[in-house]
Amino acid sequence: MGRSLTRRTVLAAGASVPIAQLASAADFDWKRFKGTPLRFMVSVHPWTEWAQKQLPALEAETGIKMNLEILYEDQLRQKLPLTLRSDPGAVDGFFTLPSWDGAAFSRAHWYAPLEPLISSDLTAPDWDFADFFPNILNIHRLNGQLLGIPISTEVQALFYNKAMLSAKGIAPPTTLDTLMVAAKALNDPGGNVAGFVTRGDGVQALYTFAPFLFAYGGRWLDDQGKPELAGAPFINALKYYSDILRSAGPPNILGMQWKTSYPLFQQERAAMFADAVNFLAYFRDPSQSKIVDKVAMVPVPAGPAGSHSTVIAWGPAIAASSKKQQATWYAIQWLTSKRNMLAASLATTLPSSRKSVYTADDYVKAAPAGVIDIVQSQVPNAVPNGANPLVVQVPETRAAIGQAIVAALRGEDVTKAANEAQKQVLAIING
Amino acid sequence: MADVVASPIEALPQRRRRDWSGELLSLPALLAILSVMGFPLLYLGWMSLHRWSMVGFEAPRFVGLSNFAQLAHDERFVAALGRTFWFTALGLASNLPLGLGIALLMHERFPGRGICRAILILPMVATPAAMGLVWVIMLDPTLGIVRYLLGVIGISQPPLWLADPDIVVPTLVAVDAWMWTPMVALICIAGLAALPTEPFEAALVDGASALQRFRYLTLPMMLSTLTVAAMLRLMDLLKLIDIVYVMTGGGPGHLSETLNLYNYLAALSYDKIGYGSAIALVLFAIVMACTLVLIRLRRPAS
Repeated sequence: MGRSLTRRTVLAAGASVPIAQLASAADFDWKRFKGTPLRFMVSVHPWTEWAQKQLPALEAETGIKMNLEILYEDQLRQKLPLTLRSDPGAVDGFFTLPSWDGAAFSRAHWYAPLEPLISSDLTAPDWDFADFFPNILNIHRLNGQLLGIPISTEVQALFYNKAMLSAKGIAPPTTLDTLMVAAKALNDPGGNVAGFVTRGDGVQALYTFAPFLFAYGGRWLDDQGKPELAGAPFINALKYYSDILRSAGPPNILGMQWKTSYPLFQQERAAMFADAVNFLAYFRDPSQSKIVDKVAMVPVPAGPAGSHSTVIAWGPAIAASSKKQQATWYAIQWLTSKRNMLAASLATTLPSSRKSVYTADDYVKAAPAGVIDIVQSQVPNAVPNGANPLVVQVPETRAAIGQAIVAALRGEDVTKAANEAQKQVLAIING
Repeated sequence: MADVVASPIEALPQRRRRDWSGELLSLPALLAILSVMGFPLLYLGWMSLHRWSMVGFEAPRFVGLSNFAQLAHDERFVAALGRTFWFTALGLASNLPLGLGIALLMHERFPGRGICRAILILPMVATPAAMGLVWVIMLDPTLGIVRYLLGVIGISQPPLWLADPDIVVPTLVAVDAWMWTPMVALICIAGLAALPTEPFEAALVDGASALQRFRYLTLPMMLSTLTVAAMLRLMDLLKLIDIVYVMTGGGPGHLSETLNLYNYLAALSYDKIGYGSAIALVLFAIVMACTLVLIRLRRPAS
């Protein structure tokens, strides 16, 4: 718990809840922390670019002088931990992606819990906490505590080329079985067209492999946080992933990263493609895409355990070492209000974490076709932070599991590869 | 010094009493070099003796030489070490003959030689990261222009280049050679221009063939120039990281991972600062040792 969030403020907050509920939104004192300077360290992201443009409005309405230090993601991952560790209090708020830094940051006690602030009179009555999708909030809920406010949401989808599928009379696949049949039917090596493409490069492929793992009822870690990679679900998923890509994927599947896989689908060299919904923007862009009017999406395919996308989200968090946590909450609260979240989604085109955005006329008109459905239908069953195991050593763990995916794609023994990954990840987690 | 046929300035031997002004004048530079080179190296050594994470819950802990002991059992490290030597050997074997060949061509007088020389250095002045990405696009087995060009000459099943575990390293070496052979060529052009003309004239009079002139005159006289070029390329190749990082990230799997890339990943991505420092020190020792060997080789030649 942070220094400025004392027992007294929490007690005071508890006592004032009924008053806050009675008070109307207009009475909320937005100027309570007028003149407070704040330092935020964030990554380059459409949302932070949008947020930077709102700083004058934030200052006009709250009097808070927020300084956004925008760094490239790699730089943030080095500078932020270093600053939080070596200079407590220097940073008040930061941008976090829990699937990547959540386990490490919460173990280091760098997050201030948000729910005591949300339930206090420091939160405007019309901020409407209940408006957030509960399962998107779960992304930023670690060990039972809410530690950040997700500002958008990223689920995956199965993209398909309508023209190619209808030419062969194939319905959009919704299950693992129909996907396999469709991919093989659409695969045409002679015509230089792959039936199905997704990531094959080991480290990156964890993300696109995850929905297949979940479809077989698998998960990365068990309840004790130990890897669960040697069991039947992981082995079956790995077998499926390598089978479909070896038989209906592009010839260079081993080297397929996101940046080399989406162009195949975009240039009609692949009939189907699985990755984040955000790629839709590349396919709808007439200046670079051949499939502007042919692209469509369905949820990630269902297996014996159903259809489960991953869901990840960046979001602002409060540094536990900040001496200005309440003012920091004001700034985050202002940026994540209903009005501003809608504005952010309109400006960035990123799907929101707030339900109300999806029913707002402006957004419904502006959202690319299919996005609202694909997000709303998948979020409830999606696995929060499922993009990789939620461990402290994410990059090293990704490399170890990626080796198993590469081995499978090379046609090596899948069970052996899975057992090796299990052994390696266990060793990494145990340090 | 006395037996060297040296430049006119050095050829004026005026031996006086020991004059320390030279040493004194270079002292500030020496101190600057020591502080910018020596301190990081010492710090690196200190870090390599610790178990050290940047994430906050563990303070650096002194572990002695255990990071180095661990290296011997790290299959990924051993593989990267061997691969780095493979990269270096392939790189030198391609860069030096090609560079010398291009230099010999450029040494001849022909129309448009100036423009050719200017074009020659283009790959070298572009940033490796950007060129790496361009090559990734060109080599794409489905969409790339290389596939198209090979198709034109009748090769319908082109190699998979970066996705083929067997040829990923030679492919990366080829891109590296494309980028850096021009530098070797430039060094050789300068070397060729500085060669005396008399021996060649004499050889012509004696009726030596072009091959004989190359074998018995050009090559021996160019040896010290080639050693310099080899030394520069050796250091770069042993430390190769940029194009590998951009083009394959060390993949497929870890099959194109160099020592320097593993070093970077271990220290800054896997957050094992101490272990990464140990790898960096090993790499430093290897580069240093190889360079010293080459310098020794060069000495008798000059």
